[in-house]
Amino acid sequence: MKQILYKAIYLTSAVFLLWYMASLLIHSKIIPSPFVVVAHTCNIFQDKILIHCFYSLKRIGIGILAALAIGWPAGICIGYFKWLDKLISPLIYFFYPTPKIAFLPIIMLLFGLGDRSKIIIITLIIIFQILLSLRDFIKNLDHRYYFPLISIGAKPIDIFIHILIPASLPRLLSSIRIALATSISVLFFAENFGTTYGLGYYIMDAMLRINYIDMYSGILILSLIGFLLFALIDFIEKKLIRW
Amino acid sequence: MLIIEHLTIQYNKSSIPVKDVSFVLKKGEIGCVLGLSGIGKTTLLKAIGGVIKPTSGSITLNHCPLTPDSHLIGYVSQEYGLYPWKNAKTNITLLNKIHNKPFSSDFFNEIICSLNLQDILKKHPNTLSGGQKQRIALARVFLFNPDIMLLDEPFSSLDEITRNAAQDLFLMLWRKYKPTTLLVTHSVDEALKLGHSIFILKNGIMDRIANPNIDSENAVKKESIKKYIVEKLNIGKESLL
Repeated sequence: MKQILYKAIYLTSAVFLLWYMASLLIHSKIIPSPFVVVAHTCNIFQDKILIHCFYSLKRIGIGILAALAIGWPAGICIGYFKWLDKLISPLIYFFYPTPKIAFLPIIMLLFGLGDRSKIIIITLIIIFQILLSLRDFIKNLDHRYYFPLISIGAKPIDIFIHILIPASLPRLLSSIRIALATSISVLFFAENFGTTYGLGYYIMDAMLRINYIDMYSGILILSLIGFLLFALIDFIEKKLIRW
Repeated sequence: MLIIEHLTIQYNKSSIPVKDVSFVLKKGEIGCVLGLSGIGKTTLLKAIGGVIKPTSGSITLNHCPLTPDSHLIGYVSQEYGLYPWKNAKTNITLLNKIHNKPFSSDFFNEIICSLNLQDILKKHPNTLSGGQKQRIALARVFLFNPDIMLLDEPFSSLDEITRNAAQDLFLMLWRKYKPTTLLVTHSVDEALKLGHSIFILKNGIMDRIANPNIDSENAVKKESIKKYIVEKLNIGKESLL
């Protein structure tokens, strides 16, 4: 925890210093002083921003959990069973590079303008990162781990429980880290359509109202959420992975 | 008794690591498969352990086809095959747990004490030395009490002093329970120290040499067998030690 705290202090100081210098140099409304933005954020957080945080966190959380629930077992299975790899991997190679954000209007038509379509687009985009990363990890896992269990007639479920799931945990967490950054960017974009809640909406709405201080408050909170989520993953990694 | 008859393992037209191999290993004995690195020793062991299917030939143990379903096979893979995400104790008891094979706490304690593992049971393999990992791998396979024990170069990554101590510990435990054991090694000295029979694998073909010296320290006889093995393999002596 101490390390995370030190990281936070270091990061905040560095960002604020650069930001403050930029505000002094440019001296315009476009880049207000960080101290003004922080004071403003503290004033409006509870009344204006908190509700948007809640919506954004809900969408990111469910989106990532859904991608994990599908991508983790699927990545392990595709990596472990060669026949499944041959069957599924060409499809992954086809769909992974296609810009899924372009399907947002279709997803909105299919699943409505509400949370569902935003969560689905986040899941769709990050699931491939998780799936491919885990598939490659399992494919390259030392085969000697399997021999003692195969020799005693262990079933695939035993190999999953005792080898594949625990072995893939570190890789899973690092792929969540990568997915997290992507999901925040996707969320920002997706929240500009069909909603009046969420930090993406809040930031864009403030920009359109030419209220730069409000806009920076939103960006600050979104960055803070990202930082806290990364810190949470670090914390989970330390608790779960002891080898 | 382990009987291997006309065993062939062929990956493709040009790769036949095991070619028409036949040999017999008596019940309650240690057989050492000796050969240079990459000659197909592990492939042979994998086929006997049911990890891969042989192209042709038969493997029987006590007159029954040897399969993971019909027999208890204890396999120790190279680098010990321990799972870094499990602590020493769960590594040791894993095979019994998966196979639903109960063990008495007396038996467990006996093995743990014999291998001096009491103080490291809660530690993860990555925090342990090579010798300690090796003892955990041995504890796991002895606790499983298999019909046949298959060991793939179990001492090869240890330094000489630790290796000798580990071999002595293995022999001490082995003499207590006497499981039929097939051990793969590339060290002539190890084969001479541990094996009742030595099987030399070269170019996919197997030769058997009885090693009458396992329980004696007849240095002259041992040296002559060693010389014979080195000549049989037709290689420089140093590369086998």
